[in-house]
Amino acid sequence: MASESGVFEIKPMDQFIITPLFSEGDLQWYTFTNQSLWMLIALIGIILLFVFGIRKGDVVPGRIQSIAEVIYVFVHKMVLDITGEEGLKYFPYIFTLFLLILFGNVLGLLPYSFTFTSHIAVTGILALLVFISVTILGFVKNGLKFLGLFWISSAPLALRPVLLIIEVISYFVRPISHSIRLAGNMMAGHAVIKVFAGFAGIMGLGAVAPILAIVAVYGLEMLVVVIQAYVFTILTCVYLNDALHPGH
Amino acid sequence: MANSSEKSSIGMPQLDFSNFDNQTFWLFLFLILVFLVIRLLVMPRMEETLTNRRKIIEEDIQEAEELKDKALEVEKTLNNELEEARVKANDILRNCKDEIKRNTQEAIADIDIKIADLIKASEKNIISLKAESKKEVSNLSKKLAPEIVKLLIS
Repeated sequence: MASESGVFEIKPMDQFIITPLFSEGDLQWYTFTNQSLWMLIALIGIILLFVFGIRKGDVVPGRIQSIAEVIYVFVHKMVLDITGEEGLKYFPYIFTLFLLILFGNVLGLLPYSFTFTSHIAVTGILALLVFISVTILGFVKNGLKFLGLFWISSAPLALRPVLLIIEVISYFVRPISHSIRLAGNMMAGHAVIKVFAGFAGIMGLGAVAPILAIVAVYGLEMLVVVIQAYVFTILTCVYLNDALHPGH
Repeated sequence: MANSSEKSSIGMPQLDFSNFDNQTFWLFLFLILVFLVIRLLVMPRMEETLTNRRKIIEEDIQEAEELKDKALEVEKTLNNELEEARVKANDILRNCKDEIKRNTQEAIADIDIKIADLIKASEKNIISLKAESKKEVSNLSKKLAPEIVKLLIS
């Protein structure tokens, strides 16, 4: 990671280091860190947009209210389309997931900010919560019939044991792919930007190409942060739908 | 940032498991806070706003449909009245024509009678005049006859 001279060092991963903000020394479980700070900022952003933005509740919405409504209706429709009426009961949690991830991702694009969704601990917990709750829900709603998810009755009988193994493995890989997809995307994009920024720092004023590259990657990242929040949410809906209707 | 160079030797900070308890705690805290904000503050207001808007739109559509029905009804009655008026106008026209015809015929008949009367009266006049003129001629010839004789003699 460091260049030979030792002076011009590019450390693209340093931005992900968690540091305590108001205390010295080792992290305790309750220590307020840069990560906690950006979670707090995300919470404040959510409150500003979704509490103060829609406080008036105009019939003809203004700008801020329109943004909040579009996001709300978008997620609401997604849950309704994928899981049906039954799934709407879980809409508040899915919307929470979407907003926390969306705000974490987007705020992470600000210079000097910290992207808490780039941490596998964070996305892993979110994915595990979805995985565990969906599995429990599947058994509670359908009993042992939930296991029919792994026994593909539409396939030929000879193939079913093979499919059973594949289905079981893919089911247990879900939380891993679910979390690493998000964290990996966030980490990679930010690291790439940091690398180009490091080049620009080394080249000084002549750094036209790295800066153009940063602009390009930044534009791409704007797309990626929203899409990844969307992907995480839609996969949550798909898993929830499997738990609610394991028949197909 | 003084100790960051020392920390950066870790490689991927994401795989530093020593702070997972800290991350877990804060994530759960903020997850619960965001959930409460959404459940208690955002959803009731949002649902209220959306339901309210849907209601207003539905009411407007219903009102528009009612007005449309009303307009159609008004058009219908208008057409009916127009038709009636046309029929009435035709009746009046026909009546007028009939009346005019009748009046004209009556007037013609009247005039014919008067003309006939006048002709009769004039014929009478002519007859009496003829008779008178015959008498006068005979009178005159009676007066003139002796004088002509006198002249012839002398």
